[in-house]
Amino acid sequence: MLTFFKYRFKSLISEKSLMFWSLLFPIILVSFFYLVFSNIGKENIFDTFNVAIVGNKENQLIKTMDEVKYDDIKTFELQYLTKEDSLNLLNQKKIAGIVEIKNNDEYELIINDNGSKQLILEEFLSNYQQKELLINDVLKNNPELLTTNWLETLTFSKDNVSNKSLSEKSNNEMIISFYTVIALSCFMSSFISANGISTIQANISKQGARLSVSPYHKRKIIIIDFIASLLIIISSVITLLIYMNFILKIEFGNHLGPILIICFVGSLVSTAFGYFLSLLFKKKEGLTIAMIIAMTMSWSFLAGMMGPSIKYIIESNLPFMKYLNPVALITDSFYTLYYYDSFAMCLPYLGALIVMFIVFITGAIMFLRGDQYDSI
Amino acid sequence: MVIEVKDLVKRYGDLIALNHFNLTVKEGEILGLLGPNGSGKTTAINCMLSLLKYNKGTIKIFGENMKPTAYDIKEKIGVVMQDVAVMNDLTVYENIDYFCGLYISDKKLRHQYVIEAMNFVSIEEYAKFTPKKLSGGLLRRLNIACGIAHKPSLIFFDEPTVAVDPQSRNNILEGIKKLNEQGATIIYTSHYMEEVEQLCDRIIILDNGKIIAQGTKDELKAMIATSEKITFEIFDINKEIIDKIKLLDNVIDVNCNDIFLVIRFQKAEHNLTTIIDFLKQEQIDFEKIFSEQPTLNDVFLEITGKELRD
Ligand SMILES: Nc1ncnc2c1ncn2[C@@H]1O[C@H](COP(=O)(O)OP(=O)(O)OP(=O)(O)O)[C@@H](O)[C@H]1O
Ligand SMILES: [Mg+2]
Repeated sequence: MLTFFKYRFKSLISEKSLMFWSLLFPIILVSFFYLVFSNIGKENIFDTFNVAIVGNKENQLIKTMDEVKYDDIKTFELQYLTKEDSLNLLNQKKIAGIVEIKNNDEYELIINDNGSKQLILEEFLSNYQQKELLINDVLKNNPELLTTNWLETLTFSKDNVSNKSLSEKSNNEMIISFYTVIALSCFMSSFISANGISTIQANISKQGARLSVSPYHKRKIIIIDFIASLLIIISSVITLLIYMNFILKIEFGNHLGPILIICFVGSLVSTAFGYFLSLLFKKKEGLTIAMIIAMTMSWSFLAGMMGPSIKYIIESNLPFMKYLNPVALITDSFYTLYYYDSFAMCLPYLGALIVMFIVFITGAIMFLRGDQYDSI
Repeated sequence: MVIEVKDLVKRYGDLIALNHFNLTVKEGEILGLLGPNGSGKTTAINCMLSLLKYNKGTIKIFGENMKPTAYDIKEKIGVVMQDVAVMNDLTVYENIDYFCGLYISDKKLRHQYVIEAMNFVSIEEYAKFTPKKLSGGLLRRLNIACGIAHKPSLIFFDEPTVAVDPQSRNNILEGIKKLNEQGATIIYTSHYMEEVEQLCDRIIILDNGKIIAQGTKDELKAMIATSEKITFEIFDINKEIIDKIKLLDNVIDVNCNDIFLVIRFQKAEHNLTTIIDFLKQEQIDFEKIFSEQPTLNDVFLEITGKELRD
């Protein structure tokens, strides 16, 4: 029994191309994201950037903008230009945006890109607007409140306006991408179980036929192989977690137990998924591989690996879709755990994953049930 | 009886791979299944091993009905598959140990068996190699070792010598004889008639899923009219002469390919002198003469009208 397990384990883990997909590929992917995000995070946040002002310079907003500082560095370098000139500069990307002051003191922001500078500008303006309304309101109704002290709280700084929300937003994006890669690694690993079951099934491989003619009970063979595959898949996911946590220093919050539970459930689903596909396509191994890659990549994309907007779109329009996407379920479990600090909130996701496991494993068992084949 | 197959029919869709196939194997014998490619040898074995479903018939092994869960029967069986079936990432030693481990759980005994199996096919020096590093012939030998390491008392060999060099082939045949002497009953399939003739006590000739003849090699040869085959090496021969030869006594047929004139005779006393006298009389020079007993190929040829080899 142990001997059989040992050899199953060894031969499963020695398939180098499979180990690439299940272990190395996610590590490369997550490192790549890390590089990309760490650049975005740093991008010019502490630098001054140019903004064109069109219209009345004496406007209160412009004055305020001119004063905004972060770490003693001016945030906005204002350039007073005509609309035409400023549009030209905007197209050449020499300015981050244009603030146009209309005659009635209303203002409009014109931007071209969607970078962090533009985000800072937008945030600043919307903040200003809110506070302006507040001041007007106070002036109208409770002028006595308008002490100097109170006014001071209304100063704008990049610190309390933009930087925090910016980093939070990109941080969220980053976390979602990272968590998706963990889920992706789970499902890429189904290569391992797919390969495993193919070498024990008589109608898929000759090696399988050898096992079938032996007196070793089939059920025992399958259970041992399943455990070996599962163990390898979990180990590769945990290796990725360790890499992310200790090398890339990505936060997971303090939830070792729940994290391991999520990984375990994810690996269970992926092991069964590999079994199911391999048994479905039998000797067409190319199809099994293509299917695993295609499904995993599209699930990961829909779960927000390449940017969370797709995830938000799906969540607001087709909320149940998430329950058909195991990668999204794993990602969301991690995210919920990190963001809301609550394992209880992950339970519906884990429940859905377990249902998926049951579906895949039942499918696999249906294929596995026969001992004799029409052709081999 | 070690094996009793009755009236086995196996279809793949419309194709009838085995057509009312019957077989009995006695304890201690080496039975040869001889047939050209696609004649149904592998299919017959896979049915006997309960790997394949079949449409009709019964299969008994060691007196019991063979079925997928007949584990106590399977324990005594060894199979050397036609295609090499080994684990690519395990070494030679580990491969044999892996498959032997399915039968023998005692570690010490198994170690001894694995060593013996490696010696049996002479691959000891490759014990630490993975299959990727083995040549085709060595792989075949590993394939054999994996099938017999657990010392089964009934062994199926499905064309084990394909792609093996003549030297190793002889070693393998010797080995199989030795296994047989040690008490194993053996079923051996091949499309090489020489091997089957050399090795097997009894032979079944299969064509298109049908048994066309069976018996010992002498019995089989006695079944056919041909009893002697004489070949001359002749440089100029014409159709007229060939036609005349055909009219000689006891001649069954005459074939001429290139410089070889092959004449098959029915059993008679003086076939050789008859033909030599005739050629002299026609003043035809010839270089060499061979006189041969009929082979299993002739048996096959006479029954099916086609050569055993493609
Ligand atoms: N899985 C299958 N599906 C359909 N037809 C098959 C299948 N396996 C074998 N056959 C057909 O059944 C017939 C018998 O095949 P089988 O493999 O038993 O022949 P064989 O005697 O072992 O030949 P060889 O000497 O080439 O190994 C052939 O005509 C073959 O094409
Ligand atoms: Mg065959």
